[in-house]
Formats: sequence, structure tokens, C-alpha cells
Amino acid sequence: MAERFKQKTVQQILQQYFKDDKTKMTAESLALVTEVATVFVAAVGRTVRQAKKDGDNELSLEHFEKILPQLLLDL
Amino acid sequence: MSTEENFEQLTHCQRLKAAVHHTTLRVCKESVEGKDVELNRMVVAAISEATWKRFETWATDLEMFAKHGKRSTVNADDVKMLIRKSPKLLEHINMLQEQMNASKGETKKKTKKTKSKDTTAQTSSTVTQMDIDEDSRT
Repeated sequence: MAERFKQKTVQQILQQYFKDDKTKMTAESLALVTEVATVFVAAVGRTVRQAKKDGDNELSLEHFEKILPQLLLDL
Repeated sequence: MSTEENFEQLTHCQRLKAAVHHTTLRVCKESVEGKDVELNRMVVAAISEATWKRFETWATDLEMFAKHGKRSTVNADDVKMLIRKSPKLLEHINMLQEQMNASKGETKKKTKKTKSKDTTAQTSSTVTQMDIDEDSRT
């Protein structure tokens, strides 16, 4: 996948939610979390598969809602 | 003024959300290429929102895992704990880590140094290869 999240963005977002100001991240862990975030978004692929299963060729919220529970459990 | 600070925080937050949405849209567009389906803006917005919420969960979890290991710096093992439910994803992440370490090994040879205590400095050079900005905080 050529498109992915920018590590700097991911770091800033996570830093916002850290309860302790002292919490930091290693460069390696940041790279890995960025990859996980990119994979999460690529869940759109599951939405596409669901849409095709339903015989539609436009993605709708209904398709996304169908795959969302499993997505949240997996990731 | 605390209201000014709040306002700045808010726009900072909005900027980050916008960045997430922007990247989400790009990843989605790439994913549906050649798949013969049409993307829906609302679906992209929903994915973007879900991702944003996930970041909060991930941040809390990562911090807790690090604390559990009596550390204040989140490391790769904490990230792997995060994705423990999905073996395939774990495999993918392990492979990525190996790739990163392999190129880290190459940079080590070039610098002719023996074991460096500060491995984060080395990994950040690998990180720049992945076309990301370096951040001094790591």
C-alpha cells in the first residue's frame, strides 16, 4: 500500500491521549502503530467485499455497519 | 488565558482530525481502485471517525502496557500486545519489524560502531527511509 498515515500525525494524536506527560514512544513502536492504523483504515476493503456480497456497486453506511462489529473485535 | 489555550487546543485537535480524514480518504481511494465500486463520502467519514476513536483506545492501552512493564516509553512489544486478537496482523507487523531491523543492521555496519546503547537513534534513520519526518521526541 502506497498510502499510509504520517508518523508525525500518529505521534501527535497518541500524545494527546496519553494521561502521563512522561509517556513517550520509540521510533520502532511509532512505525508499527502507524502500520496498524493504516491497516484499520484499509478495512474499507471489507466494506467493499460486503457491498459486492449484497450486490451493490456503491458503498453505503449499511455495508460499513455490517463489518464494523467484527472490525472492532479484530483490531 | 485559559480560554485561548482551550481554543488553540481545539484547533490543534481539529487539524489532527482533518489530517486523519485526509489520509483515510487517500487510503480508501487506493483500496477501491479497480474494484468496480463507488466510494461514498459518508462511509469515508465514518471510517475516519472510527479511526479517530480507536486512536484514543490505542493510546490508553499502549500507555498501560508500558506502565505494566514499568516503563515510561512505549515499545514494539506494547504495540504487539495491542493487536494480539489478530494473528495475521501480528504476523504482518512482525515481518515489518524484521524488515526495519534488517535495514537498521545495514546502517550499523556503515557507521562501524559496535553495540550502540541508543537504538532509537538508529531506528529513526530507518524511519526517515519510509518517507516520514523525524521527530526529536522519540
